[in-house]
Amino acid sequence: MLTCIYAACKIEENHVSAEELGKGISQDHQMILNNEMIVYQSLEFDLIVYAPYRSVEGFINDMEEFFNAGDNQLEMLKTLQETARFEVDKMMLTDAPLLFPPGQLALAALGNSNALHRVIDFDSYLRGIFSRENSMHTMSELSESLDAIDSWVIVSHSNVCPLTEQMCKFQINILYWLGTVGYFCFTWTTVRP
Amino acid sequence: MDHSKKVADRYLKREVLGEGTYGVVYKAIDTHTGQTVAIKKIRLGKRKEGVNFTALREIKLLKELKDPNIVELIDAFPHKGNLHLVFEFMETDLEAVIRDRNIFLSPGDTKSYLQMTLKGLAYCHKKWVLHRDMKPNNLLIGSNGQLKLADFGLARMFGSPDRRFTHQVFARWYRAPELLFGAKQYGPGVDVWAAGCIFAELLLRRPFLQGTSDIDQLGKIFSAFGIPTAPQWPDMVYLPDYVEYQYVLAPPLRSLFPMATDDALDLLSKMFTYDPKTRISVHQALEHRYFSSAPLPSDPDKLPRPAPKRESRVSDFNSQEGPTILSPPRKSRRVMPGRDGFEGNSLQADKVDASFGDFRQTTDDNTGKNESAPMSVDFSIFGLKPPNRPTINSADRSYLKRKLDLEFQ
Repeated sequence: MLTCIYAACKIEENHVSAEELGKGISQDHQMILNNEMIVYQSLEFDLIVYAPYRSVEGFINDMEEFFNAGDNQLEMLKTLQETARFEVDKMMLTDAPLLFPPGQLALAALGNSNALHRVIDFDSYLRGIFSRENSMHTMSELSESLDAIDSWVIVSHSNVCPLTEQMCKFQINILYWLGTVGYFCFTWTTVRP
Repeated sequence: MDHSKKVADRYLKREVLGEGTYGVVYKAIDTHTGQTVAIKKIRLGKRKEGVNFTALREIKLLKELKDPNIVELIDAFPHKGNLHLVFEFMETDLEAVIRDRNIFLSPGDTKSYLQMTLKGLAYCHKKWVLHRDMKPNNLLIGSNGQLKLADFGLARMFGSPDRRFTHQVFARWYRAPELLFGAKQYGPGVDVWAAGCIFAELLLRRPFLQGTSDIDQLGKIFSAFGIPTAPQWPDMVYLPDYVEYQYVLAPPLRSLFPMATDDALDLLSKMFTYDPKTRISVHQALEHRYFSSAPLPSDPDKLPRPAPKRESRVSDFNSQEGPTILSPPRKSRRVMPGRDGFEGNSLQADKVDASFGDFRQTTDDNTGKNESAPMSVDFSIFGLKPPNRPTINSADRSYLKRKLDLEFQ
């Protein structure tokens, strides 16, 4: 598990040294390093997980134009964005980022955030996207994807392991890395039956 | 990828192609496909921080980048305590082409090389990847003449707001002014500036701005393009390492590139715009009229090839694995006498070290004298040593140490 965290930090260019990780849990850091190559091999060196944070920001900018937002609505969109960010944090603990493109993940997060804050008419925004983009896909296909993403969050959230819960208390940013780690753990399990 | 295979079970080793900071690159044959490959062997050993950071980055990004103008990463696996990266084999690089005085680059040839460089770069930027080490010897050329971007050890993804990067990237001669002023937040403009330097190098047949330190590099940039003015680059005074330079008026670009066409000069000036926000993007550069005006870019398979490099070493494996198959004789290279009005005609090597203030270039036909030159590049003919291309030099040693300690982002 620690090797996965170490590798995730390294891959995401937020490096934490093995020594520091080792100190944190009174473990020999060499054990972390010895398993590093095994982690990469297990993943077949597919190392990038695309997080939807940037997509959320992109959609917020797009909404500002779409709704021709005034000052008051800009404030509400900022609130929408902040809540969506927490939704994304939850998603990163699931397999959803490995199954859906970032844009759909971002829309699912924004949809949930909007359900809470009621900032915009979300459905009319989605229809607006389709009418603007001459999409090959349909509204119902997108709705199915968004519902599937929500299902992943609901199911996985109840299975958060104790170690993850503890680490969540340290800093919010580590959720970003744990999303990647979640994938490693999953693969790790399948590698060692 | 089948990780259970060993090198010997799949890849037949051939000669060593080169050696870098992190290990050896050697030629090999993929017995599964018959394809010739280049294998970069990266030492793992007892490193303090595990798997090499730049190797990891190269794997990570090249797995996402599939384009005709980007070198292909075919396979990656550990073997005998080392990490092996398997790339498609590329015969030579753009630096060798530029340096080979037996090669004449026609205006269409130059245009073709630049277009392929920018196409590879456009794909990177479209995928939110900065290359950050654009220079001629990282632009590899295959047997079919295709140019491909290589060496993604300094590359990384961009576009996240508020992410700060190191400014210690690019070999110095290709480093954009905002990096020399210590910018930590930058974007694809840094790659465009470097591509502009490569364009200039194709035209001049020598490196363009050969600074010996960061201060000197800025000095040479300002000698070529004039001191940036506040209207030109409003934000420059806010950069961390900004210093004022003595006022210099920009010489006409024509005086630096006397044989270039108006379209080429226009594209160059847009690539060398000081303000990164107004510098031309790669996408816009590819749409520039330079590429659609006559002569059109040459077909890659018709581009001239440099003389084959001497084999640096023959692997011991050769005798055990059967005779080495010699490559078929190359087509004769096109060596043409220079003509008036053609780009790249001026091969005045003795002017390499001239200061820009005194820069003059004659139109004397010098190419004819080289027609009988030996196959290999012989710099003694021009009475000077080839310029030493900076990669990581003494001034950047602290940077290298930090890079090895993984202290930069």
